[in-house]
Amino acid sequence: MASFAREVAYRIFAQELRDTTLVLERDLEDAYAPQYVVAPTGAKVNRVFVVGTLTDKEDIGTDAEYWRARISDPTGTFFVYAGQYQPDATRVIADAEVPSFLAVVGKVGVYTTEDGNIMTSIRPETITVVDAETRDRWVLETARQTLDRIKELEAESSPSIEMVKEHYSLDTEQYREMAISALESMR
Amino acid sequence: MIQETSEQIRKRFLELNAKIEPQEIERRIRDLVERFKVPAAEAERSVVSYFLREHGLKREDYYGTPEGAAPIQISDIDQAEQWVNIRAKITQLWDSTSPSIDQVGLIGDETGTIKFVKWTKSNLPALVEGKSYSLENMTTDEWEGRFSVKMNRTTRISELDEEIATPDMEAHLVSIDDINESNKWINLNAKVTQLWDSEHESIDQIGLIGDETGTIKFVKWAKSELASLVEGKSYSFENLTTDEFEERFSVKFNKSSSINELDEDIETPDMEAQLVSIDGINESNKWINLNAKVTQLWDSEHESIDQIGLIGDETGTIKFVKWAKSELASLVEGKSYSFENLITDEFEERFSVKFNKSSSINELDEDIEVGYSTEEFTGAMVHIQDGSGLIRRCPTCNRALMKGTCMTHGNVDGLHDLRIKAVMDNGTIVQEALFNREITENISGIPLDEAKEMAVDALDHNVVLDEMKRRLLGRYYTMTGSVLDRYLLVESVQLVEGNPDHEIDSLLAEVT
Repeated sequence: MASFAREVAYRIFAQELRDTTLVLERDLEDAYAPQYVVAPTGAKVNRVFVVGTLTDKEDIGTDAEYWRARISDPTGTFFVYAGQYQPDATRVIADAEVPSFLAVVGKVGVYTTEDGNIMTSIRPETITVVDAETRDRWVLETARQTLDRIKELEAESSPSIEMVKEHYSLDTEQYREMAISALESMR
Repeated sequence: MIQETSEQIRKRFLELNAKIEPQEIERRIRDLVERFKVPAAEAERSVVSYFLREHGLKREDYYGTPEGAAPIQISDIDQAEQWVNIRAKITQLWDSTSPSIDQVGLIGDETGTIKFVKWTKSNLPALVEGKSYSLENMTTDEWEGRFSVKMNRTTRISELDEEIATPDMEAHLVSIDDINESNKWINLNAKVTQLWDSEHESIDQIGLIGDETGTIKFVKWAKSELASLVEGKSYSFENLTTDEFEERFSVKFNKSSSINELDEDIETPDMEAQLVSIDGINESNKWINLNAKVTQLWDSEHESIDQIGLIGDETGTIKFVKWAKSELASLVEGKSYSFENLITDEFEERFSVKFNKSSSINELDEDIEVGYSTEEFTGAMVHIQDGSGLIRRCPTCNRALMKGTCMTHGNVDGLHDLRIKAVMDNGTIVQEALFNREITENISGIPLDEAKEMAVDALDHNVVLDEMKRRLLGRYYTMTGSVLDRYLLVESVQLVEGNPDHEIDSLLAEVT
């Protein structure tokens, strides 16, 4: 039943998503196959759930509204783009104050430049204004799940272990430090 | 550290004739770093951005003015909001979709092509397809990971004597499973396997074409003025372009496309229906037979859909869609059937089955069992499905009404009710959860009476759902209930509250 299920929303810190450069080729048998990226700690991600601080927003649309929002967690910044095809999310960004806490559910967007740079962003499905407690809980949960993924990699039990070794050279220490410093920033 | 940064910002703004109190800068940075836990560099950027807006200044003013940039190559464009000069050929002009856009299309150089937009208010001379130009002082833009260049009032255009070479645009014959890039010109030999109803007058025909390797959606624009395609016939297609939307590929016909019917019949993937169990459904566009019970009938949201809902067997449940034009007998909730010749489909990573004209339905005497168990779940609410909020139910069969109409009992005076169909997610597992009226009232803080008033005041039921989304999405909840099919029927639910300091400390103790 695995393929029947909705894609899980992964908990991933901004720094790790920014470092994500491994884009899986889609299953060509299936025109509707989702796009996945494999993050440096091994998560195979299509959808994410992030809670962070809106630090800047700009309507970069020309005819229709098209918002670029910067949403920060303790490790870095997520880029969220919302336009006419995400009317609810667009409204929330347009109305939200800078700074405020936002919770975002969305798909990871990937772009490869000609010289091979991979850039990630989030295409939101829902955005809501939340409080500091929800953010605190998200940082805790994201640190725990990141550390769990690192543990799985180190035990060589992660399904992504080969891909991570080959593509990212398995540098788990910097992501352990990232998770720990995110936790420490909450105290 | 924060003081130094604040002082730098104050000085730079002073150079731009904007006087800002240093305490104000410092207070804002401190709030972002300490309360909002934003990294220092991001906090600085955010505060600069705020004051730029306050004083009507541009980012370029603050971070340095771009001056006479040297021409770059198209493949070098990897950032939005950059000022660039490019030498390129106009490879395609498209129809402008908006009066504010004078010209739109593709320009190309040796390294690739990129979309351009020329604003009407830029008052620039017309560009001619096939000619090469020096294009100075354009800005780059990005949309969903794709870059474009914009020509504005300050852009300078001059025609070049030389011709800029662009990458080969000649269409190649491919098979459908080779299609993995958008904006490619291709030729295909394929059979029209399905024609759908066009939902827009600009679309002449839309549907699926297939070859030995798979099927793909096609769109034929009305303005391309091509011959009509017939379902079941095979054709040679030339000069189609590939496209991608939300990670799915399609092919589009345009004015330069050609269509020639083939004598041969192109084989498309196996269409012989096999009897399967629901958890065995893992591919779309397969013909199958199923023995299953109708566990839920949902509200059809479109007149082309006769019935929609869930059917289940011992191994799970799956969504079904029965088209009005397939003219099949009505299914009754709770009854078990043998279904033949359904087609599997997938949307947003979920499978469903579709009835069509060649499907058949036979009621079974036996009752097919569908699973049941109790669970607790903690996670974030990541989605609230349609059909949530303030709804009305049929007084006879209790089913939710669609536009005031019961699918079985027609126009009835519906009874108001509240419910939420939520999607919960803990980062590892997704759980759909059904909240009845009592649970919905508790968790949303909106009693039924108040919901009715809100709907009356706004003349719109959806205000209730919107308000529930605003209050609930993105928060963490713990809930318990029984599992029916893919839903948790929630019996109790609580917001996960309180500051998680203790848990943070114990996790840190564990890993440091």
